[in-house]
Amino acid sequence: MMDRLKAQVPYVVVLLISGYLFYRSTQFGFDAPGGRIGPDVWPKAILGLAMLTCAFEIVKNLLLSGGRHETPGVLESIVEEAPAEQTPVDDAQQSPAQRRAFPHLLISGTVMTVAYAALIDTLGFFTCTVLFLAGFTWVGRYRRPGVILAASLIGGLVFMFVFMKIVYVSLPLGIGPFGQVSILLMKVMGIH
Amino acid sequence: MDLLQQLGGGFATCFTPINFIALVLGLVTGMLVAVLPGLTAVMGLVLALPFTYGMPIAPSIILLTAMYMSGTYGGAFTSILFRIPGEPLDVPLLWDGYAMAHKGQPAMALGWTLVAALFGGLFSITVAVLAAHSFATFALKFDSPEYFAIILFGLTSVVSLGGGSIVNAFVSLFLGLAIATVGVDGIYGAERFTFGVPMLADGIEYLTVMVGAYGLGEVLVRLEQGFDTALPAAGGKIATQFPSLHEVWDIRATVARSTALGIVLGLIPGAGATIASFVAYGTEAQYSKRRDKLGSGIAEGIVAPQTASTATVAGHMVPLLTLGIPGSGATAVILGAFLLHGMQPGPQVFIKNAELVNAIFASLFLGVIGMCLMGYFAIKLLIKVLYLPEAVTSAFVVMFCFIGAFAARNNITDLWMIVTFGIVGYLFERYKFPIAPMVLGCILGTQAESSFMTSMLSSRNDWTIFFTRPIAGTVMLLAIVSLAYPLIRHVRHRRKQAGLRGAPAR
Repeated sequence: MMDRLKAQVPYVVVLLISGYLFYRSTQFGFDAPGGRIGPDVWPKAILGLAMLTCAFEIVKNLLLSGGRHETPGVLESIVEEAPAEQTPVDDAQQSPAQRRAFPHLLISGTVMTVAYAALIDTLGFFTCTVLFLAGFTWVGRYRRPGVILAASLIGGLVFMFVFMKIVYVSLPLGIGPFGQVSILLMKVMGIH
Repeated sequence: MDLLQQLGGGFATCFTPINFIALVLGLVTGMLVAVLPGLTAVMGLVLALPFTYGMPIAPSIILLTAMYMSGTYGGAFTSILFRIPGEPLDVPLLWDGYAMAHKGQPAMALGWTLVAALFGGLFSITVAVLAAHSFATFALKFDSPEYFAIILFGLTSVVSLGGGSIVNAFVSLFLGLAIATVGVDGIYGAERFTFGVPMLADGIEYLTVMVGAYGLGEVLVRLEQGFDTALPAAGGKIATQFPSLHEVWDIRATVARSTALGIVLGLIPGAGATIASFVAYGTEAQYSKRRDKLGSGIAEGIVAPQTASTATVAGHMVPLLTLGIPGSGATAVILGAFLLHGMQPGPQVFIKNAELVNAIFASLFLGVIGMCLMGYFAIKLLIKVLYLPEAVTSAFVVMFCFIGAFAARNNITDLWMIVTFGIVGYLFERYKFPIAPMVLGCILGTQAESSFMTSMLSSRNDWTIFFTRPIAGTVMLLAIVSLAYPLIRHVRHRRKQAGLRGAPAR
């Protein structure tokens, strides 16, 4: 029963978010002349359908035994109907749940990703990118420091050169000493 | 004759140095991306998009379409030789392709794949060229109810044809459509779900949703698995052996069926190469003369999925170029490239920018031939990317995602969007919600809403307008059928299973 309740969490989350957004859509400011439909109709219809779908799934899963009553898409049913010996059992085809999981890697990787977005304005593109590339590779269980260092430094420089010099993207330079590093590199690369 | 002349002009455009370099680069990159497990063609296109910002429009589109084309072919090599499908669309190739290789005929299996990609590609592009010009003229008659019906059909197709549960696909689709409503609405100028954030007034770029969900999300999924893709031992002979003309003639029905399926499924917005590949294999299981041997390593089991998946590329280009409606993630990125260069594809493009359209079609022809040549001569070299450390390539993929997001609007908020949708993409994978409906909902949501609103306003809130106009009504009917089809199929399958269980044992 606990497992069945846990399985409903995604639907409950979507139901609550949709409900909140539906409420917000009743507060849009607009002036629709003479009985015309307003800009709230389309979002309300979508959010209403989302809520209905989630409510239906929650009720169905709690009252009936979930999986047996699930209608699969056509692709899924073709795979289901394939003869057993044809169904791939290759490692790459297993679902994440079936494979060995490393949640600490996931958490570290996610934290690094969030940190990149948070720090890029301060550290500048080059420093932040080199640190991210090195850190993420290490978190990904690759353990050759020389290769990591070389790949990160070359990667940071190549990205900076290609996107600032060739594609003309204005990447963040950073502040203080980090900004000075970026400016120095730009001078060396001939980026103005 | 006129069409041939125009196409000839397209070939000439393709052979200008910059366009030809873009074509070759696209083919090589697409093939590399397809070979690497965990990197899909859509991800490859998304990651390549920022490089096109500084290019003229023709090489940009040629580069991306070439990547898309070769992306449907490269993964076949790893499926057949190492039992590692580079892309989901290559999974059916494990069944007969790997089985044939396992029987000691890997070169022949690769030869069949090449033949399938070549025929599937050339036939489908020929049909697409003929169809697109006529359809573009026909599409000039379309008004907002027709556009709404076609978009709705695309959205219902992606729900009904995909993998996983239909309910989860619907939830995913509604979330995508809801994301598309963020920002100032186009008719009344009302702010919707902006929560006081100025950046949200411009809406959420569908490319950031794609980059986050497909790119970062997939990397996070693989990171949780510890980047543990089992790789084959290096070395070994990789060669391609062509089947005889007589053998090719024997499977003409399979080629014809699979090409037709690939084109049709390509034309339907929402159905993609993966679906075409599986459906073509399923069709062979029902109609092939040697259906009882399917799965044991026969040519039909290789040719059908490969032909169909290659044929979808040309099919997908038709709604993209004639209506401006992308039917898949890959064509959505190509649409993004069009829009970034200030051009909206649609029937008018065939009149105003005929040269570009013809260059795109010509590049598809050249692309098919080029990717087959590359598959024959350079695959041994290309396949070496398999041995790059996954942690290093993934770190670079994430960087491409970040730069792609940042480069579009030069705004840090888009970086946060990528991170958010990356986590959403991971959660979707984790809880078995398909990502494609959300992405397609996000891409087509704005167009769907504007066609719906325009239709309703012009008809004074009369919703029957979607059913009373002949073209719109027919397409709406198709949308209803596409939703009912998986349900009917499921009920039939369950009845069949119940019948088998009830049958007395012999």
